[in-house]
Amino acid sequence: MYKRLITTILALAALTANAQTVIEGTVTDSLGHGVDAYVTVAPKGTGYILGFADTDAKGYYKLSFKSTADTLVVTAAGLSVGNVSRIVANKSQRLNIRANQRAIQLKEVSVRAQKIRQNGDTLNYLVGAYQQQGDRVIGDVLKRMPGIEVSQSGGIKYNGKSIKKFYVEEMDLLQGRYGLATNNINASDVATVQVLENHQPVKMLQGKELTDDVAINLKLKDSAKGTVAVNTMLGGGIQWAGGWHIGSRPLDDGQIVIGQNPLWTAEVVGMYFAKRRQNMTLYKGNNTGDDVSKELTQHYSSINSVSLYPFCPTGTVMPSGSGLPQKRTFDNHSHILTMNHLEKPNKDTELGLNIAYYNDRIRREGNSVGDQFISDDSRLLTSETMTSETKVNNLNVQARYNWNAQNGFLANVLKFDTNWNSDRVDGLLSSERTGTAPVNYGNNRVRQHFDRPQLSVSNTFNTIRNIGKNTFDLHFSAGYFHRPNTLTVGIDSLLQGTQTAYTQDVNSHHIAGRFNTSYGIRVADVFRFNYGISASANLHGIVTDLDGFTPPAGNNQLSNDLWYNTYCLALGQSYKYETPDLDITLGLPLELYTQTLDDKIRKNKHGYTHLLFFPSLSMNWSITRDLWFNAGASYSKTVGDPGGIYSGYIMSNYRAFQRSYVEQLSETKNYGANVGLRYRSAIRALFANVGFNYRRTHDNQIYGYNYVGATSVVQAVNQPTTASSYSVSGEASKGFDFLHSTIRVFGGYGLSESERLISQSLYQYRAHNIRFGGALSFSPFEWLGVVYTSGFSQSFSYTEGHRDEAVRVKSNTKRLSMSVYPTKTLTLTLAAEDNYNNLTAENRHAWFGDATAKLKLKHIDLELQLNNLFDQRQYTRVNYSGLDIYTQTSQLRPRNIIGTIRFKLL
Amino acid sequence: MNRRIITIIIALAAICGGTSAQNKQAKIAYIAFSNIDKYITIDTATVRVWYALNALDINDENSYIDWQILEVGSHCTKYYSYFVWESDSLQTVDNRTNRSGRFSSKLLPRGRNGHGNWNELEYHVLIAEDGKIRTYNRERLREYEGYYDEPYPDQQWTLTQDTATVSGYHCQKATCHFHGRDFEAWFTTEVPVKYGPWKFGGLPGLIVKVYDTDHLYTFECTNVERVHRPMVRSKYPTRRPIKRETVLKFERKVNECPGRTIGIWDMEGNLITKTYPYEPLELE
Repeated sequence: MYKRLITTILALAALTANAQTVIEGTVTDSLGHGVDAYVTVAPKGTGYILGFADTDAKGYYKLSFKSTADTLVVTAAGLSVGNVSRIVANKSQRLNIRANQRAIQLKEVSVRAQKIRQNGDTLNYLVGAYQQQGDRVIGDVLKRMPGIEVSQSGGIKYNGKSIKKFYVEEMDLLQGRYGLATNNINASDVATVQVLENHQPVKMLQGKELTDDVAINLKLKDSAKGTVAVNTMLGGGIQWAGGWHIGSRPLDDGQIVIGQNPLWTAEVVGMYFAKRRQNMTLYKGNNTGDDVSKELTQHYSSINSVSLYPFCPTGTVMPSGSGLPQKRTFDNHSHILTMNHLEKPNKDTELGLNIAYYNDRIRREGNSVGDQFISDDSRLLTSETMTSETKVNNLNVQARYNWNAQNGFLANVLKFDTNWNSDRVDGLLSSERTGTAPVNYGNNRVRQHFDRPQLSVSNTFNTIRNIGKNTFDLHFSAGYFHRPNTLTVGIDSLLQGTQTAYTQDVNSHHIAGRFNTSYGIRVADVFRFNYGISASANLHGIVTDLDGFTPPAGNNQLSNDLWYNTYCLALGQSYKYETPDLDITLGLPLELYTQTLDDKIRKNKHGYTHLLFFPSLSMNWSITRDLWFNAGASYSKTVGDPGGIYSGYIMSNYRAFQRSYVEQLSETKNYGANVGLRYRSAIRALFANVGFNYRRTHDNQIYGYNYVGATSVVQAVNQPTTASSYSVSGEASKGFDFLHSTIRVFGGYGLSESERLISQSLYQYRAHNIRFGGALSFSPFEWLGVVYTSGFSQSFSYTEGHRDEAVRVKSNTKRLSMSVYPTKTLTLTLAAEDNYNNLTAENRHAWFGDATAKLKLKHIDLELQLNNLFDQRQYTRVNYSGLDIYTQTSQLRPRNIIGTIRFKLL
Repeated sequence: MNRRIITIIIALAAICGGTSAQNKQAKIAYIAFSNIDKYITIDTATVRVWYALNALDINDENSYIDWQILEVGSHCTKYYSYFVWESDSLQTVDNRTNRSGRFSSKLLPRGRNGHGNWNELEYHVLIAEDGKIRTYNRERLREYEGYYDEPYPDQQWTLTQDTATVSGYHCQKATCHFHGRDFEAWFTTEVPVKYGPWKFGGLPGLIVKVYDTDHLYTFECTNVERVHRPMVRSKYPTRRPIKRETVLKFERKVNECPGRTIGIWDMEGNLITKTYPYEPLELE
């Protein structure tokens, strides 16, 4: 490379009198070869350069300059050598510099903190830009990224839309159980989180069939790829009350405290991510209230399998959730064990196996007060104090083959699920009717036991082929589900001194198959017509038997033995106009729907055939690169359902008995419409969406309620009823470089109008619900991170003409969490939370406090948690359901301390 | 929103006969995209430097006229527009999949001046090697496209004693007169490469910021990255040498009176002869 010598002299008056200094020499590497570099000279102690010269091919340089300085700094610089300096006296001399060739560390800067970079339909979030000290797994960092929302259940939404795929290095290892990834992959192993908008997972449809689905891909750092990592955590602790006991507690040990000593927690997580193979195997267990089963939640299904829903309307009355994080109320002995494996023999083929096993014993304690509407001047008050124990054993296995190439697609998924779960509940019920004719029904001791095993197996096959410009899609899915369940109830009436026992057997089978095929035709580049034929069959075998119940006069049938089958042959047709900016779809499917009912007890055989039509219209318009508008409207009609064809009474729970069969099938017409606007700007880190929804249903039947004491007897009645709902909601989030802050606001309003039939009187009622809130996270100093969240909601409902008397339920939650980083290795987090509701007689503000200290050492991470600092023992929640108000008081886990140690085995 | 307000203000200023700085630098004209599928690898880039051209807000790339990249390899450097490259790649993919066969204005280059606004600095690709810099120019008329060479680096710099922190680097100021304008440049020894944006180079360190003394054109570094990626250039199969003077003359004409230069007629068939003020970066 030709080198030119450039020497520049500062024309400063003070310097002109000085004689010129000449420094010359060579810059060479360790072998004495000339180096491609340049040499600068600066007076020592100043920041400015007096002159500079390039080296020639042999490494020779010559500097001439004028300076009054005594001492000079001569520096040889270049990409291959970095900066090598020599301090010399200010005199003409020869100076040879030997520089070692090395890869120099460059000071990289980014003036624009490009935390999010957009590349077409992909948004790249830099994990390092959002990660804070104390964030361990990638889920911790995802919560801080503007536009991304992680719900309590672990579900991820991007700008208000649930994600449809979650990849690690472009492979869907976990098949929707992405909680395993977000809760176990170390944040420091992930380089970028990519949000893939308009994601089409089928390669051959990319660029052909537009979608507005969103997916997330984790791009790992090179250091995390191709190595087996095994992380372990062990921990133990104590709580302030609850006694000592190893193993799970018996149901009636006389204690009402949640949890027991000693507390323990453990996990082993193994991970391997390579180009052709991925594996994630882990065990987690604890009795500290941590619901690890959430990690096994399947947030999406990789293939559209046939839905299996065996009929079983029976269940126990249990202490219901407090609405608080489960950690505070959960008395558990949880174990999860899962293995997920993926093999990629070539770039288009994937083989996957996912096995998950969940074992738990969950105990709940609580009191539930129901304030139910009976008429405008009378209400039914019930109070139930209960202790429950649920035993859980779930096993889920899925095997998958996937061929996804530019010229074709083929997938087959085999699923097997089995659960053997049971509930036991001991409780005390007291009830009374208030109003014009008050009655006290006294106290009852209630014991419930519900055995609810179930088993299902299904297989789904899907292939897509290109035929010229058109595509052919074939889909076949079949499955079987069996539930042989028994609910037994014993009630001791303490007022009358009587004993009652009920037994409800439900033996339910569901066999389902669905076949569909579709053919897409492309016309004039902007139109796409899809035609398809689908056939489906659903066979429900239902055998029930109720013992111990005395039905109202006239209907004394207490068992059912029937097959209710539906067969559907549908012609699907959709017409789509699509351009890069606008697409409009008109769906006009037609269905020939046949149902047969073979009631063996009533010796009654019926067949019904209907022609159904489900038109829908939807539109997506991308107004600008960052702004989208969507709108849609649909109509559908459903005829009959397995919940509406049984004539013998079934115990829904020990206080509700129901029969639904009327001489004709139920018919429901559904009307819906929605509009929405979405905005996202990666540059501004601003994300916003707003939407409006309208829904109206028209039924030819209504369920009529009659109350006998605290027990409701429900029957379907041939009387049309209409319900409608309107809702508007929106949210926005923005990330600022200022103080590393992110702000999020949300709000919504809903109105529903409905009818209820109680003791032959029809009541029309309206329910209003409003909610709004926000969250702010920022770091005012490098050593402090603050997160504040607040939410408010109000709901009330009333029958016509009684709006003024309506009771309003208001609740408000505020949470402040502060993380302090005294050193690079120590993180202290303090959180305080206030849960307010306006209806609780006492303790309207429930305050919670938690503290955590995390210490990161070279090979181990230590963590100490102090939970429920204020030792709250009870929490009361009030909520509305239709016209009824329910007040739930839950027992809470007392103040507790847990220490854990986390280290890498491999 | 801000962008819209700025656009409205600029439009109003133009209507009132005001001559804002932005208007002197670019005119509206669509330049056909260049297929990025056909390229050759010329070197491996190890350092990549991003420069904002005339940023209103350095944190918002949409407030730049252009966002440009300097790639430094072992024996070559390449300087090109990121916005134009992004648009070319989007259009290449769009063409390949030919989803609709329709043209979408969303695929045009981003930048403050709006989609498709023309500026010679955006559409030129500069490759420096062996002491010369070759400009591949892309123009509204194909016959004016070609390449021409200049010596590189070609500035006679005068170092000053002024130092300051610019874009996070400790910098020293240098001045020069180049192609008819006076420039001030801030360079840093913390990045030991002798290059800068556009045709600037030859200082003992990376040029972090450079502007003409009239402040019509400002290049400001936004990112410096250590990379390891192939440095590629289009094959330019039809390019022939063209004189720099011819290119400058054509660019002046097309900027001052695009209607007459490239032939734009209004709805009634009259040639549009409206003229615009123009201040090129290179005066001579």
